Formats: sequence, structure tokens, C-alpha cells
Amino acid sequence: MHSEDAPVLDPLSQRIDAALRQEPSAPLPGGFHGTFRRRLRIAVMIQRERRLFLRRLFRVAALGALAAAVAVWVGLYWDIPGTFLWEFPGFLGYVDYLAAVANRVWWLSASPALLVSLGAIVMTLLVAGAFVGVFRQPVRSRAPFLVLFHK
Amino acid sequence: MDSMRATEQSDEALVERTRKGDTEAFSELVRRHGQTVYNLSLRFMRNASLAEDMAQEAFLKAYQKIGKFRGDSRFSTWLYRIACNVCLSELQKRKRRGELSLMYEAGPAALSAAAADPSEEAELIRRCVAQLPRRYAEAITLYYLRECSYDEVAEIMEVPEGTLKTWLHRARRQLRDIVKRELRYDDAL
Repeated sequence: MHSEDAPVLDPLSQRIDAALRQEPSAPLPGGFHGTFRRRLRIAVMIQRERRLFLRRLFRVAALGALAAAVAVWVGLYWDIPGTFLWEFPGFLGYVDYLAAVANRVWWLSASPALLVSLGAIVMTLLVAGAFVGVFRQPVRSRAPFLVLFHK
Repeated sequence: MDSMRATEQSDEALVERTRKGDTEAFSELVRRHGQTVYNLSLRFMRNASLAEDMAQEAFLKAYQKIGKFRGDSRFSTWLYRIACNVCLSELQKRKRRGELSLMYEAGPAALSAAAADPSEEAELIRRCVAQLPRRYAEAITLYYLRECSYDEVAEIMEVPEGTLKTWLHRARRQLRDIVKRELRYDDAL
């Protein structure tokens, strides 16, 4: 094979070429197919579990988003914040009291944008961690490295 | 009955069945290409049990990614590409951990055995391929694998044939230097 491409070789290159060309084809180890079938079965189970987990995750996320959207819509439709603020005697004063308390605690008095950003970062990290956990390959058992270059 | 039908089908038909969740079809693909993938792994890893492990890893990766196989190339070409990547990544990891240098620690005994026995010398020469840069090691290994034709090597490596020829030329030159250094051949050779 490849003889048409063979350049003129010096003795050492000829020895290298012969060593690589004449390497015999090894037969497949006896238990190869049996071991592979077992590993394949496990891989199929892992894939199925991942799919199920992701499906559940998306279902919960979709339900959460839907619930939040419904809550916002209901709140706006019946003007619930307005009802609380103006219809209940003393409610506005209670809100002022809470704001005054919050101003005395540094992390509560930080701007809402900062708190929202921090919350978003934490949520992103949690979701990313969950995804990495789901898609991480199982650690493959490794042969002891000392045998690498020994038959 | 199912397995009898599988043996008569083309690789593409088996891939299609595997996509639909038929693991028996994939087992037939493993039966067809197992030996070549194992020999390819063996040439990279130079150890039978590691090669078996890498070959199985390659097949598992192929099973997991079979949905991404577009059919632009033959299934075997795609599979060999995966096998090469699995083996080379493992070699890279071992290189980083300094495990490949163990080869040279056993130097004097191996060298005297190589001087006495041509087959030992040939084995030492083959082990030197692991010291080549990744793409050169891949080119040399695939080039000398009997089941791979010249244009298939280029297709597996996703490079034009001209580039492959250049890489092979450079790989041979570098391999010559490595063999000369490691096997302590004098300048007469």
C-alpha cells in the first residue's frame, strides 16, 4: 500500500518504515463484545436518566414561569398592590417603617439593581452547575499508568 | 432473526436503526469495525488493555454522538476520527502527567533487548510515534494502518491530500530524529 508515494529512504528511515509497515494486525480481545454490551447498556440508562431529568427540569421551569406570569397578570388586573397601599388603613405607614429599617442595614439599603444582579449571578451559577452535573461524563476507570508501555 | 437481518444491512442502515434506539444495530456496527478500531487504538496506546479501553470508549462516544453523524462521509471514517481523538486526548493527558517519560526510564534494558532482537527494535520504533506532535502521530498511524486508504486518511483528518503529504513528510523526518535519539543510533545510520 502507498508504494507510489514512497520516497527514496536512507537505511534508518527504511528501518522505521519497515517497523511501522510490518506491524501485525492484532485480534480483538475475547471479552470485547461482552464488556462493550454491558457498557452500552449503562450508557443507554444514563442517557435515558439525563433525558428524564432534563424533561422534569424544563417542566418545573415552565410551570414556575407560568405561575409567575399568572401572578403578575392577576396582580395587575385587579390592582392588588394599589388595593394594599390605599385600601388598608396604615399599610403605607408600615411600608415606610420597613423602608426605614432596610436603610439601617447596609446590604438591604444597597440599590435594588445590585441585589437583582447578585441574585441573577447566583441563579446562573446554580443552573450552570446543575447542567454541568447532568452532562458530565462518568469518570472512566483507568488502567494503572505504569502498564502504559509494557505489554 | 433481528441480528441476522442486521448482518446483511449497510452501515448507513444500521446507523439509522441505532438512531431510533436499536442497540442491536449498533452492536453489529461494533462487530464490523471493532478490530480496526482496536488496532488503531493499539497503535496509539501500545498496550493491549489500554487499547481495548480506548476502543470501547470510542464506540461509546460514537453511540452518544450518532445523532450528529450527518452522513457526509462513510461511517467508518467518522468512527476512526472519533477513535483517533479519544486516543490522542488520552495520550495528551498522560504526557501532561509525565507518564510517557516512563518509556525512557526503562531505557538500558529495552535498548539491549532491541539490539539483540529486531522485533523488539521494531516495537521501540513504533513507541516513538507517541512523541510526535498530535497531528503528525495521527497521520503516521493512520497511514500505516492497513484498512485505511490514502485519501481516507486525509478525509479522517479533514485536511486536503496535499497537506497530508506535507505532514507525513515532516512526521517522517521528526520520527527519524526521535528514533535516532531514543535508540541511540550512531551517525553512521
